[in-house]
Amino acid sequence: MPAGSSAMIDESILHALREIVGPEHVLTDPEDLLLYAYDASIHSGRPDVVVFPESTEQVSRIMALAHAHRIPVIPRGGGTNLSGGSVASQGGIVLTLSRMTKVREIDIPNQRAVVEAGLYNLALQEILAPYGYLYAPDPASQKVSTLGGNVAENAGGPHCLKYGVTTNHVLGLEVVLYDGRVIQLGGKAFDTPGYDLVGLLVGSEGTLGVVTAVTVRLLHVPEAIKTMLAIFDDLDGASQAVSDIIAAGIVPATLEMMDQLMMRAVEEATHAGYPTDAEAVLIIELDGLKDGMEEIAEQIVEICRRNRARAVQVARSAEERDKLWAGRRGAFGATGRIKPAYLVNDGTVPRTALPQVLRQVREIGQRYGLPIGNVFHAGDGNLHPLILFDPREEGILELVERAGAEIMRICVEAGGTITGEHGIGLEKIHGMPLIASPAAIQAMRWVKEAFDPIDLLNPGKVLPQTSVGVPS
Amino acid sequence: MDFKELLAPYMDEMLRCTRCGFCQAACPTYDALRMESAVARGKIQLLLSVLNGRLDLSPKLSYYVYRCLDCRLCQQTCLSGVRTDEIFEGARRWLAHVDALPAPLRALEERVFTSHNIAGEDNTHRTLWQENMNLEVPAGQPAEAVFFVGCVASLYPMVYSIPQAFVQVLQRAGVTFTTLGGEEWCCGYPLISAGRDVEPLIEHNIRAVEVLGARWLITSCPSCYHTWKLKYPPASFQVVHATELLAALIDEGRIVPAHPPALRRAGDTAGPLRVTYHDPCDLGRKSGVYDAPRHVITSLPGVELVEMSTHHALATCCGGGGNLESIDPELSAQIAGRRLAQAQRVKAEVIVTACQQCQRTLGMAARRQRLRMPVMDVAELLLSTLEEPA
Amino acid sequence: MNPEEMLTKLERVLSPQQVITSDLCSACEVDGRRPSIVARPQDAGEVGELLALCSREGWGVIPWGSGTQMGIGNIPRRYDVALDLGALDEIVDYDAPNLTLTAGAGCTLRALQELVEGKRQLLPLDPPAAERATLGGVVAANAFGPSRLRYGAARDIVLGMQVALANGEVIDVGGKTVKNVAGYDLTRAFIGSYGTLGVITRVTCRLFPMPPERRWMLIGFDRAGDAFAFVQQVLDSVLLPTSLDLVQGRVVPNRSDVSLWGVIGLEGTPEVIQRQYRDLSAMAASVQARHVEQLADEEPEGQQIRRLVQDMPAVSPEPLVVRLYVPISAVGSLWSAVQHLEAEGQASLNLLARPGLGVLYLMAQARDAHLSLIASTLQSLAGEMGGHAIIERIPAEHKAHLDVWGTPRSDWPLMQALKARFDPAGILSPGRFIGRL
Repeated sequence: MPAGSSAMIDESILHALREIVGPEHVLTDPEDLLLYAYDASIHSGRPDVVVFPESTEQVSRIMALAHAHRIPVIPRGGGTNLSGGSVASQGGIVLTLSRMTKVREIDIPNQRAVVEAGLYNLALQEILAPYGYLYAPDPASQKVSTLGGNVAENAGGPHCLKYGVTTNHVLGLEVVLYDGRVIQLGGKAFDTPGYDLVGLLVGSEGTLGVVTAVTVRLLHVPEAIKTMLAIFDDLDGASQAVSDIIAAGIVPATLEMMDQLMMRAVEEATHAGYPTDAEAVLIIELDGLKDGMEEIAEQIVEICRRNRARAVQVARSAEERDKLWAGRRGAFGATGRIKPAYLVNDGTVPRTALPQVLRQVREIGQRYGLPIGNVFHAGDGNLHPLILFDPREEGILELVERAGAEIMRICVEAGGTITGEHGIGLEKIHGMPLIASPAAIQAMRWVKEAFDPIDLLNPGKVLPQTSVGVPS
Repeated sequence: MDFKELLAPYMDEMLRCTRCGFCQAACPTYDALRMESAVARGKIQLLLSVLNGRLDLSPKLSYYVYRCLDCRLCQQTCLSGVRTDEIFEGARRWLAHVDALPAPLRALEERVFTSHNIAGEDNTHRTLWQENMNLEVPAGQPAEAVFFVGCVASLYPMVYSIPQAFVQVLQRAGVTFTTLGGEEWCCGYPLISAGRDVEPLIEHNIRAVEVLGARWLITSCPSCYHTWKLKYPPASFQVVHATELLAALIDEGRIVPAHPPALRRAGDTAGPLRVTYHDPCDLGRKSGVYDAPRHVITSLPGVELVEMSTHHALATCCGGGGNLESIDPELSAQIAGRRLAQAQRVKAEVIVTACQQCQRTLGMAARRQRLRMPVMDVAELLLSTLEEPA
Repeated sequence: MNPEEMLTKLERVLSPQQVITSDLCSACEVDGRRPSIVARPQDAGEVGELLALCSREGWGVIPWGSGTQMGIGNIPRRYDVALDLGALDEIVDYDAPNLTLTAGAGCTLRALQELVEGKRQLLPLDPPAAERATLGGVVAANAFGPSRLRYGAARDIVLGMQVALANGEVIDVGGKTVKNVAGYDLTRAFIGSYGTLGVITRVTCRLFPMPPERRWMLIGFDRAGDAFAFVQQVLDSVLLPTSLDLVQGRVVPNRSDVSLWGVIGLEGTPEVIQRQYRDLSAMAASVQARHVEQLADEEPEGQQIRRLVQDMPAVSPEPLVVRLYVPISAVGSLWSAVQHLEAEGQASLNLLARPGLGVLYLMAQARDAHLSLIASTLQSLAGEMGGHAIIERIPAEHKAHLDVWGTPRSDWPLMQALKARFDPAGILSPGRFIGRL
């Protein structure tokens, strides 16, 4: 039975919520509901009430209340979701964790930190820096995306090529279940006996439980970092260089690609020094021990040259490096300089398929008459084609969604998947059958039922309700 | 025309916002409240909702639009280059136009237009800061330079020390100047920021300066400076910020900072005094003056300038910007506390700024937190280096 | 269950030569329980059909690879069918340019590693008894070895898999890309589930480039305190050894004159290895370590050392083997804390620590009557130190009153709920997992 409708939230429930978090942290005015109706995707859905708990205990009481009255709950962090995962598509309570920002423990001897879900990823990095440590996953949105959100999406980031994604760095979770129970999963030690529930929760997009605190693994800041910008006059050369670098046995910390359209927007925004006349650039970063790094860098330069790179520049200072990264990390946001809206795809393909898939993406853009920019994690094969459009144009949204569906399909046909790090959310729910058989989706539904048998948490996300066809 | 129609010209600019949410990282108000209503993305979505007919104009909408420091860091850092300054200035102008000013601003407007200062006091009280000083401060006399003191420095005893220090430095340098005394009227900044026209104030002030035959108008208040310089029509005199004048006086050798600052002499710690400089939004980001105050500070003996984690164009507002203090004083104080924390993190011993509002906001926050962190004006620090040790 | 009756029913899903009822069943004993038959399906579809049949009939089925991890688990509640996955040994897709390998669950690690080494690539799984261990078994047990420090465990290396479910459906989960968030991460759920949620029939792994060079470093310590002080320095540094193990001095042949040996794996370019060797030697000297030597991986002695630290938990003869986990900085205190067992004459111990992973293997020889007491003492000890302990090996009779996984925690009801949905008839390794699921 699907839970929730606005009629279910009456004054007595609002009263109870105000008792739990204080009246100033319960919002119901139309202005406030609109403010929590969107995220960074093109989707929206208006909640019935927005609450801002500041402790696990408050989250637990809110969930118990929601459970008793069968009201859907949509957990939310920084609202930077790119697949509509944090919008209240069926109304209900938006549970904003932005006030839960405590650092519970920085445990350097054990190389762990325990922090609350609302803490920004970058805030954690800044806290760790004086100790000489870092938390490896670094999504481009790290300034404003929360650890809880990162867990929910199994966030990646440029440095995941070498270090892996969120699931490889999260060891424990404090979770509030659909009925308000608080449980601890995992901890500071590895391999807690039993099923890997931490592994299941990571990437579950807020549908299995509300993550209130996260135990993460810390890594040493590397001794040396070398950042290079390889400039190409053709996209094929750049994508071939990506494959060749990996094939040569080199695992750089990052291998990012940006095409001309994106460089133009980024350069205007950040003046980072990207060559706007080039077809594509690779941002290649090496890190680790300084010994022998020079030789590997030379090998990379040689591979880029072989693939017709116009030039390979090395960042000469930390400031230059930061500028390049500020440009890369800000790329999505900068698209507003070209068109007011974008749909970003997140398909991931085996690296060797990159040249072909990028050609197909370009062809799709031409066929639909839609500008498509590319800025993505090439080393992981994780594409981010951004379809740029103006939502005011008649019928454009349908066109954009069709182009998006085609891109998903070609990624799957190339042996890849429909989303590498942004999640299914609402946006790709129709693409799920491309990648998972009905039996596999059924198995996922068992997981959902085991955690949330009455579909209270973020309903309507991730799993298609019935087996639906893919729009052609 | 109703608010919706008046807002329509800003639609294109608002649509440039991609809702990436990066402005959350820039906005001091968001940092304190952690609510979407505080941040540019949210305000823009609300205004778009009005344009799309999904939301009607309401006191709450108006409150959200006005609960803003007008510090423009969102615009400075927006990746899509959304002109949040134009959008919010426009929104406030039309909110004021349709009589949707929040009550505290309506009261402020009333005070300024009747008493000609923001405090609502008898305007002749503007000279009270000069009492107990061993020097005569000229008022309304013909002079090459007019010192425009500003409402905050004239009427809030906590920052009387700023004009007091500034005029002492001017006298030591042999600069002849006058003030306008009771003929100084509020420059109009808070009302302009609220979206009001302030023609009568502008006309009065320009005339008051011009009749004295002044070539320079000097102000130590960045808001007055910004308003005179960018919001007033061009006049026959030049507008100069106090720090620009002080920097020039040092360069010309008309004042010689010869001694370590009094603060250092009071303590017995060795080494230079660790000073951090807080960029006032109206002086730095909004008027482009970053170097003059730093030039003065670095010219002083026994002083070391350290920058906080945000500075120059990316400096965080002290919390006293825009009309936030009128709208929500508690929030303003919270934001000030966060800026103080930045200063503490770089182990500054003193915060120097060049704005009475910043000094008031930060100083009050330090007092509330029982924090021994002096906050002073560039002129005050400078003056203490001119005097023989007691 | 009468084997004859079972055979009749099994013939509908498997050909007769795939079903064995003979004495081979004794080779598939688990905790002294013998299955009625051994089934050896030829492909995942047959595995699925077999599981569907077991579900209908309520037959307990335990999947087998080569059996290297079969000692781990509680006593099976019911055991009718041993599911031999040895026939699923196909190399499905070796995509060298993309550094991925998809292979049947029955492939031995050794065969796969030889395959990829041919292209100078590495499948960095080095669990005990890797010579015999199968890919499916290693993944089902999340078994790992010394190089987990650098490469992670199956949990980090496996990208996707094919699984036969108890209802007979065969599903693909995950994929062949490192990043993949399409739906719930079922891959992670099956890894380390010891055949209790479904039967892994095929696995896709991430491969790594073969490092240009690999070496072993041996450092002898006179006192455990010195060894752990050294370890702390290493872990606090920017160095990145591939593995870092500590063993008791007496177990290293011909080098028994120190109290503990540190065995460190180094790999990379010669510059990187030499740099690390230099820094590690200096750290060793700072704690007055004796003997610092370097062995090439290819040398017989290097191989011997590698096998010693990798295989010890499997080959060591003691009746009790416990794998303890604690936060990494607590391994030193754990090492000292367990010594009292020996000091009090309760047991003689063999220890292997992987301090960078927070892991200590304890292998104990003791009077049979004492074994379960020692085991449960160790479980509480690890718990007090913020970790847990898994009893890897103990004579079956002790398991009756001892959960080898320790006491279930607040997350157990969720595990029960998962199990109930994936295996409603309770046929998959019934009773073997935590809380006797």
